[in-house]
This record gives sequence, structure tokens and C-alpha cells, in this order.
Amino acid sequence: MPPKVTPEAILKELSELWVGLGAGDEAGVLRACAMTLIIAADEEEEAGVLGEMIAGIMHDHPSRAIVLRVRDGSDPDIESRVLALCWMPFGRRQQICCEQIEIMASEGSLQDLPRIVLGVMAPDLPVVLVCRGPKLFSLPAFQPLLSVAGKVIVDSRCASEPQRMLERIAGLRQLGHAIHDLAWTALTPWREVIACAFDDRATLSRLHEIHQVSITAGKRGPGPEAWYLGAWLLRGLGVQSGIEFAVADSDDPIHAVDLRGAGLNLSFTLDSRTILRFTRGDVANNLPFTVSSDWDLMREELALLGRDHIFEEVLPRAIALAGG
Amino acid sequence: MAGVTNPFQDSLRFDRRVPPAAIVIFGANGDLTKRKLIPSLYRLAFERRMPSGFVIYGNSRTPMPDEDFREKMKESVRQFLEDSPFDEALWDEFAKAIFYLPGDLKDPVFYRTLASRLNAHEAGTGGNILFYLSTQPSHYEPVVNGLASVGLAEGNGWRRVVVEKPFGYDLATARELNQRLQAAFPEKEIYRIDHYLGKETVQNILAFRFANGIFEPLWNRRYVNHVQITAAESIGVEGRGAYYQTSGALRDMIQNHLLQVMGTIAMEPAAVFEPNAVRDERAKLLRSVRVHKEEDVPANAVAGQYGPGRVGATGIPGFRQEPGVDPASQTDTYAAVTFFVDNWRWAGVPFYIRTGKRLPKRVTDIAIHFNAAPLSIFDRDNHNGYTMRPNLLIIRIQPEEGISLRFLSKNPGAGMKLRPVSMDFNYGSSFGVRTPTAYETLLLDAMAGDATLYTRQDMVEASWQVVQPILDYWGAGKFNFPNYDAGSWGPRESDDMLARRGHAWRVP
Repeated sequence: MPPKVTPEAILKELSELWVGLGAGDEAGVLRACAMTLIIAADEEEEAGVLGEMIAGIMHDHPSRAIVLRVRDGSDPDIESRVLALCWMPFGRRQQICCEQIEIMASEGSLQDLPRIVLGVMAPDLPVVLVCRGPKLFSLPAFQPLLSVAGKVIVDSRCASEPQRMLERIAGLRQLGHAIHDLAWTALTPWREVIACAFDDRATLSRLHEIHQVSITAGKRGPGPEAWYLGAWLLRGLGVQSGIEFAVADSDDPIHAVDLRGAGLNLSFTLDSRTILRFTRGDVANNLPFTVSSDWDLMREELALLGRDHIFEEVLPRAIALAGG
Repeated sequence: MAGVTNPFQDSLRFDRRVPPAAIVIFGANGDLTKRKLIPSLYRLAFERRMPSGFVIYGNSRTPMPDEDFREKMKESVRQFLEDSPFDEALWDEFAKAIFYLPGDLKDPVFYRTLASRLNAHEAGTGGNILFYLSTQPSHYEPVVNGLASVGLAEGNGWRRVVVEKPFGYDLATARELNQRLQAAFPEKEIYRIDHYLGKETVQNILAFRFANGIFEPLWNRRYVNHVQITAAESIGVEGRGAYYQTSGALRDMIQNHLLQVMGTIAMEPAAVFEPNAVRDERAKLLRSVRVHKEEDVPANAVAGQYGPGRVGATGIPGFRQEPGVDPASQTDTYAAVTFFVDNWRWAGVPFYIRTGKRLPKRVTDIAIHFNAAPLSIFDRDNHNGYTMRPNLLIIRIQPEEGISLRFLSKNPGAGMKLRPVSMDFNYGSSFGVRTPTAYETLLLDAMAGDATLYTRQDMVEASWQVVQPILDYWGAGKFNFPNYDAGSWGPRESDDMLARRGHAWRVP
């Protein structure tokens, strides 16, 4: 018996959806698609949270979103549905719509999944695979999807064993997969503010004097973000070791960074979720700071479809730091 | 330290950062400061793009304490911030860097005070100063001389001066202005702002032309029949009648904005994407624009002025009925010009440019009309005249930025009936992120020392060179104004200008 869900059936349903959307609105709708965005999520992940994130992403990166929800069990059935995500831009009369295909499969039916997904991808556009659940991208059924994806996005912050997750990322990178970690993306505001301090020529000229680097993590202790940040600082300082980790009573994964040298003390401390206090010697400045939401991180990653050489250099050092 | 780079830099992910600097705005009580400059600087701070240690000094004649100026600016930001939320906490931090220094621009004491105040901030600004002349052009000379007299035109950091148009009233005054500015600041530190060039879609023209391989082979006289550039405004002079009647559409729009847009559309690719390389090509193009002889002006340039009209039940005054306008004014509120570019790429291709006030809608776009297919094999079944319709590439600058390609398609059903269809790329829907305003882009560029989108002395003079004969001809005669109704697409003579070459204005 042929499977109920086929790429042809999904595409036909999608086509009918667009005809219906066009007929229902006098001004018509604008169909926008700049990439195929495959999002693999565990069944436990709340549909509302996921939907909200996808809707947020669509405004910046209109895509054909293919949402794969994997449930436990060996049930061979795969189910699917299509829907449109539409919004009316401010001051305009025509809605912009993107399409979403949801495919629900059990672990027992995963072997059929790649064939269906490959058949419904938007042709000739970049493909990005987002693995929301850490276990998903380890499953053999995902290998064909890893191969077609120009970019794979994972989040080591959600992993129960983050150090192993980093090792897995490094392993897949060595196989040629362009894997990116949202834990690294989350550091952009921190890295940017630190880099900015060294735009000052006098500070830059004393870079080599820095001999003590301290990263204060939040109360959950140093995790992927702290390891990546430490590794990035080592890379910038041109040394192999010398990072101290401390812990503060804070909910933020990184609370403070201190760089100390003979006559140079730079301190960056998160005062609130919007203000970072930067101290150079005796002079303190409050700088605007943004703690990025998951949606912000995805938005940043989806805007970069090329290789991230700095991440590639930092990853092995971060694994070394994670190993203590 | 020369050559040592910041090892923490990440050009892939970080926004381009600018060095710390002081920004001094002359004319800080004016509309531009309230509507554009301060809201743009605030927005840059909102996006964490302002450097730490920056300060902003506002100047005008009106005495006022810092606090009052900050309060005024806060209200302006609330009112004029585009597509952005206002963050009270961020404003409080931002406002700490705003200061106000009243003073007469002809008073030497003012410049000494300014120098001493700016010196006091040098630890934070590194001595870098951006002077923004948001004043009447008649103040440019006293300001740059005043700055030079107290040593502010050079110092420990960089010193740059941004000037707003008009860059002169004609070719002679433009040259004079350039000489005066250059007496105080070197040309490379003079940033002549043309906000059209800061518009995202105008910048996108460069990406569209030079990052895609498929259009460049068609971008020449063999395939392009003609080009139409339209910048239409539905509003009138909005209380600026007194100023506008000293300027007019040709000076106000074509001499600067639209010739720069034309330069961007028609220029050769630069060897590298660097400020002077890009500006060299744009300048070269402007120098290639044919300067009309006096006897050619009537056939290639049309002036218009709107008369009274109605929109619905509302009466709209004509230009001559606007407050502050001479009832016998000869000012052009509409101008249309045919330009030719005398180089190998564009020889013989007309570039039609039109602009006007009180036209039916606000729209700015560029339409590239390609040659029609050499032979229509579908004529027998088509009686609607579509078969010979040429392909059209439209680059929309405002209000809905995007690019459309018009081509012919078969009507569904039996027979081979054709009709034009449009393939649209909409900037807003493909990149849902907020696009920076032109002033945000240009202010950041000036602080970063990137003059790519600023006009240079030779470009300004080249564009005056091509409009000067038209200004001279129009100035010597007398028009029978008004010659178009408010709400129409301009005077009939403008249509005739194109009709003589077998062309017609498209309706945007």
C-alpha cells in the first residue's frame, strides 16, 4: 500500500491553499519565499512556542517552513498538513504570506521522512535545517537532510551533555557539514562590546599585557557560552590557556568578563538585560545591551549563509575548555 | 601602531563600528535636526552602533540650557522616529551625551568656547569630530572659517564636515562654495550629503547591477531603448514656498538627487567597491552627460508650474497662491529633461528625467525600457497591441522599494493571445527587517570615514555643468505659467518631448 503522505499530495494541497488565499482577498496576497527552512522538533516542544518563533522568523526570512515533529513509538503513519502564515505590513493593503508544511512522524516511520522532505523543498533556494531537539540530529534518518542543508543550526544550550554536543558538532563539521550553534550566536553582543573596547588604539597597543582573563558565569555554572567566549578571548589574545571561570548569582549565562594586565583593567558587567557596565581603569560607562531571544538568534543565523571561520577556529578550543 | 588590527573584530557578525567621536550640529534648532539627525543618531544608539564616548553638541543662536535642549530633542525623537519603539531608559543614557552651546556663527568667541568644550571631551572622543552644517548655505563659509581659526579643522583625531544641499545656486556659486570649504578642510574630509544616495534601494542598484551576471550584458545601447526616471510628489511646497521659489524643481531635485541616481544606473562597474573607485565611476558618467546647446534646450527640457486644482471636495491652491510665493512667480515646480550620455555604452539612448510637485502620487522609480522583440510572430492572433510591448525593468525607490520585470505571457486558454505580466521582487517582503533610514546610513558612513555615498566636488560641478544651459535658457525667457493642474502628470509639452522620439511617459 503506498504511503498516505507523498510529496505530490502535499504540493497539491499547498497549491490549493494558495488558490484559496488569492480568491479570498480582493488585493490578493504576496507569496514570499527566500529559502527552505526545515525545523525538526521533538513532540514535547510546545506547538505554540514553536509557532510563535516561526511566525517571528518569517517576517525577516520568508521561507517555505517544513516543520518535522517526531514522536516516540513505532507507529508507521506519517501525517501532514499545510498552512499559510500571513501578515499585513504596516500601511500596506496586500498581505504577505509564507507557507508552512507540518509533518508528524514517529521514530518508527523516520526512514520515510527524508524522501518526503526532499520532495517538498522549494527548488533552487538555500536550505537551512534547524534541529531544536539535541537528539534529533544524531538520528540516522536525518543524515540525508544534513547533506542537502547548506546550513544546520543546533543549540548546545539545550543539551543534557553540552560538552559531548560540542564534540558532535566538531565531528560533523569535519565531515563537511556547515553546523552552527546558537550558543555561539548568543555571544555576539558580548563579543561586539569587548571588540569595541579594543578599537581604541591605546587599549589595543596594550593587548599583549593582558595576563588574566576571568569569565563569571551565571548560577548554572560555565556552559557552552562561557566556553565559547573563553576560547574566543584566547584566540584574540594569541594564547592557549589562562581563563578563569567564576560563578555569580545571576540567571544570565554570562554575567561578567574581566581582562587584567599590568596597567590595563577592563571590566564588562551585565547590570540589567539592557545595560552593560564597561569599566576601563577608573572610568565607567553604561552601554546599551541586548540579551537576544531565540528568535533574535535565529534571525542572525539565517542572515548568514556562508562559513563562519571564527567559529570554526574557536570550536576546538571551546571543547578543550569544556574538558577543563 | 600602524597596521595593527583589532584581533577581536568579526566582520561577519558585527555591525560596522565607528570610532568614538564628537558630533557638532550647527542649526540644531532647525527641522532637519529634529526630524532626521537626532532621531537617526538615537536609532543608531538603539542598535548599539554608536561608539562609546560619543558626544553630540547642538548649536543655534537661541540661548537654552542643556536640559531644555535634551527635552526638545526627546520630543522630536518620540515624534519622528521611524518604525522604531522609543525606549525611555535608553534615551536617558543617550541624552547624557547631548549638550547645547548657543552662539552666533560670526562670533569668534563662540568658536573658542566650542574648542574648549570639545577639548574637554577628547579623552572619550579621541579628538575625532564630525561637524554637521545643517544651516543656511550662507553660513557655511563663516562656520568653516570660524572652525579653522581656532584650530578645530585639524587636531589629534579626524575632522570632517558634512554639508547639506544646495551646493551652490549655479555652476559659478558651486565652484565658489567648494573653494571656500576647501580653504578650511581638505576635500577628502568634506562630505556633501545627498540623502537619495543613502536610500537602501539606490544602494541596491549597485548590488543589482554588479553582483548579478545576467543584467550587465543587456545594460547598454544595443538592448536598452530608453530610460525613464520619475520622482513625483503629491504634496505642494508645504509652507516652504518662499524658499522653493528661489530654487525650483530642476535645481532642487534634478541637479543633485536625480542626476546622482542616473549616475548610479548608468555608471561603469568600479574595479573595487571602495569610496573613491565608486565615486570616480559615477563622476565619469556625469562628465559624459551631454551638455545641451542653447538651441537644443527647448526640445529637451520642459518646465512646469501647477495651478489650482481639487482633490475630491478640497480645493488646492496653485503654486502662485501659496503663502510667501510671488503671484507672478516663474519658478518651475515641474521639470522634465532628456539627457544623453556620450559614451560607447549609452550613445543614442535617451534618459528622460521628470520631477514635480502636486502630481497624482508620491513615487520615485527608474524604468529601463528594453528594445521590443525584432519581429512579432504572434500578431495574427493579437489585436490588443501587446505583442510589441517591450520588456520593462522597474526599480522602485519609494514608496514600495523593489524591482519588477514586465514581460509578455500567453493568456490561459485556446489561441495565442498575449498580455503583459509582472514579476515582482519586493524589498520589504524579502527582507522583513527594518531598513535603516538614509540619514542613519549616511551619518554612520561619515563617522566611519566612508564617503562612497557622498558626492564629491567634481560630481557636483559636473551635474551643474549639464543643468546650467537649461537654467540659463529658462532664466532668459518668460513662461506662461501655470501650465498643469494640481493632481495631473505635468504639462502636455512634457508628453510631446517624449512623443517626438516615439516614446511616452509610463504611468507609475
